[in-house]
Amino acid sequence: MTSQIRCEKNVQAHTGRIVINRVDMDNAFSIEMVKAMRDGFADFAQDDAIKAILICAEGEHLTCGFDLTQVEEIYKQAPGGSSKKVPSQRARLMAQDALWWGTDGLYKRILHSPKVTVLAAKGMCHEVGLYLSLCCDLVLAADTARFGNPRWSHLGVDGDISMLVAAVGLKRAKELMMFGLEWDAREAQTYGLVDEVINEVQLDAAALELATLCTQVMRDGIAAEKHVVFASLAKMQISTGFATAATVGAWASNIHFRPGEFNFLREVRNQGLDSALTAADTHFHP
Amino acid sequence: MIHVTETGAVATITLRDCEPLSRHDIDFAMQLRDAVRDTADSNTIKAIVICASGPDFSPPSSPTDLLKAAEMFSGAMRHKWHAAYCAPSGLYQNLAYCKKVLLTAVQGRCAGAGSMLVLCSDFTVCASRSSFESPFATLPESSLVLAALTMRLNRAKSWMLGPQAWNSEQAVQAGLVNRAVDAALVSSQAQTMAQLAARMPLDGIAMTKLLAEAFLDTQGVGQDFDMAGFYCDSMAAALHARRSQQRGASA
Amino acid sequence: MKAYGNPDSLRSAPGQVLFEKSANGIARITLNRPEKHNAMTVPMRARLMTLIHQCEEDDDVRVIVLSGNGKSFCSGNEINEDWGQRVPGQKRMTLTMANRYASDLNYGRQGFSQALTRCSKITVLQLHGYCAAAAYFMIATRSDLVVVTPNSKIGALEARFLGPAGAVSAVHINRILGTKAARRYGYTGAAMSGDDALRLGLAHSCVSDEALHSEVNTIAMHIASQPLPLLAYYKARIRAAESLFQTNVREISGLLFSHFLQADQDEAHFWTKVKESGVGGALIADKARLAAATKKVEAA
Repeated sequence: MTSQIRCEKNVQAHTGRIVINRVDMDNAFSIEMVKAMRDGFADFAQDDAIKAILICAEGEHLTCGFDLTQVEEIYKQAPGGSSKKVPSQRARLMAQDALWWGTDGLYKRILHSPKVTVLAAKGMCHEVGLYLSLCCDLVLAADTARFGNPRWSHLGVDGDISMLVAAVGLKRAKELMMFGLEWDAREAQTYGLVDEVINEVQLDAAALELATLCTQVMRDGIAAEKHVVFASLAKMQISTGFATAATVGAWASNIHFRPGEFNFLREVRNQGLDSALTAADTHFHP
Repeated sequence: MIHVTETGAVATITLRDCEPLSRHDIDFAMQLRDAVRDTADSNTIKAIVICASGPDFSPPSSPTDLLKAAEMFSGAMRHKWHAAYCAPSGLYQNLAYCKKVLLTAVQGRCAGAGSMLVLCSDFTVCASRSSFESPFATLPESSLVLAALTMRLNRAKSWMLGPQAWNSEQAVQAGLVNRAVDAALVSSQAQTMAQLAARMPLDGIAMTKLLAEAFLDTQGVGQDFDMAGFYCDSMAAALHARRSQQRGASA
Repeated sequence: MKAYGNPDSLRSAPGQVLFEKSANGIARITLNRPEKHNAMTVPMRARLMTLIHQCEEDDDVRVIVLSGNGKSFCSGNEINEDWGQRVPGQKRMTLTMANRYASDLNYGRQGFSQALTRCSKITVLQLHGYCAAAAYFMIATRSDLVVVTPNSKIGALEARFLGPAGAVSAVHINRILGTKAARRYGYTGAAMSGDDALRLGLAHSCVSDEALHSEVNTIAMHIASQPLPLLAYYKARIRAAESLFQTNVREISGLLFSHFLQADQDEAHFWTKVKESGVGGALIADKARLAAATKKVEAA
């Protein structure tokens, strides 16, 4: 458990709420936070009183993504992760599965939630934030929201792309994948990532209203549809996409940087996160 | 006929236009395939831009040329045609599954094979006055699955069945084209986008492309190419019927 | 297959689904039950299927245009219809009966929706007013080219009280609208306007009410002017691509589920309400519930 992920229930309103709260780090997700959110979803899934789940955040941003200071820690914690100086391939695969893409991974848990999921997005919605937008059923974005995964252009794409393509189309998805872009809220809405753009001041209330609207449907109605959705996600090969992402994500740590190429994770290791971010900015946006 | 230059991590392949491909010229397809494959194989190249020196990236073919082209895929040459255009080692699969980032820079009209090149590339820049005709009326190797993945299902059907070619605005809105710019800026915009993509580490591009290739195959793109051979005879019959109708109308 | 319906609906169907064929190869199938927003009875759907098959076998037909008379294209299936499902002594809907209804008489292999989806002729939908429920799932999202008007109201409008019932899960809807819009419209039961439908990619074009007929005619004439082998080729390509893309298979829609869903004490059950106060009464009760819920949120 961590206070940086708060899980709340309003049984009368039939809504659950998950609040991301690590404002001093732009809501960067630590391993503990990933697990807490994952467990929160598991708990809501089992609670018959809950029909809709809202994800929101304290502070200016939804999330800047995974806490990069913990990248190596993920692998060390996995089986076979500590036996050698460089974590084994099996440790990397199991970590990818456990955290994100496997049966109990965060993204799988959200995508396969038997309840309606609503996201209130604002500020930076990077990496984990992008995937929260793709996995949640309904996405309201503040006019401050910006969506992307800059890390991809530093490293290469190492996550599922099937959901992004299903949402925005192949060539548009590739812009986000390869150019290190951010889409602002309006662009994200136009392309098919966001349902509605709201003034930031009204965001949380609007998201709660939307979640409550969804609770008007019978529990059996929500569950019936959700279970057919799981089947159709499989038909659309999203589950294959997740499996591929876990495999490829594990390869990401095998990447060899050639002379002149910027090794972001080495910078983080040697110079610390802030310095690495500045150096990345200089390298990629001269 | 095909000119290749390299600037840093970006290779530029210049054709006069795609007309020989619309005609199903086998030698030309192999030359372009080789150019793409060889540049993709280089350890210094990360992005490849395909552009045309002529006024149109891919001018529409005349009805007579289309009939001659149909000979390639429905006559004695069909196996060679299949190997050159449809097979995994053929032109379009080398483009759609290219190991490096692939961009098309489109000036003027884009019909037939040019539209298929656009579908197979990762990114497309066009001139604001460019137009895009669907490739489905003339190329049995054109991929409707790739079109649907790019622009959603009904838009792909609209493109195929609708009376008019798309203008650049429609093409951008549908997601077929990434950017439409003034004609004078097409080339530089394509180079800028290529440079942007080339910032990714070489291994990162390999990883990205492996993911993308796996994805395309889960969606049926590979199978769509496999089916091309089955469409040849009916495509040829359709082209002949259209020619007869046009002759009848002008008589 | 047996002709399901009641004597009245069976007798009325030919007059409620009109057919004409022009000399230039345009076949028109027109729903004609305007007093009920063209709600389709079982025999109407059977006739729709028969006419589609007839067009497929007729070399004179180059293109099929679907439309509806009156204020709307179609509000969906007729609800609460006697089509021969009542078995003496059986109170509840059996799975056998639900499957017959949902599958054979709707979206399954033998039903009218698959006939439309896999039709070997190009189909053009002329859509105005309401296009809801079965008309959305099984016709609008199954036609090749859809022409709409700005104030069309399209979608799974019954989702508010039945639950999404297939609107989110249907693969073809996801591939037509994109996953975001499929979820948005499915979970909220909101209506898509004609402009929405164009913007999202469902519609080929959106024109004024006055221009609708001529726009559809222009498109149909363009298609009909092309030689039959080319048109057949296009449809063969579409069918093959849809098979690869899994968009032409039957969806599992809420039709199969809705009678088995149980409402908890704090929930309203649509079909129970229908029994108590008719369809109109159930819709009014649902609106009131939603209004109350919104007030609760505003007060919080």
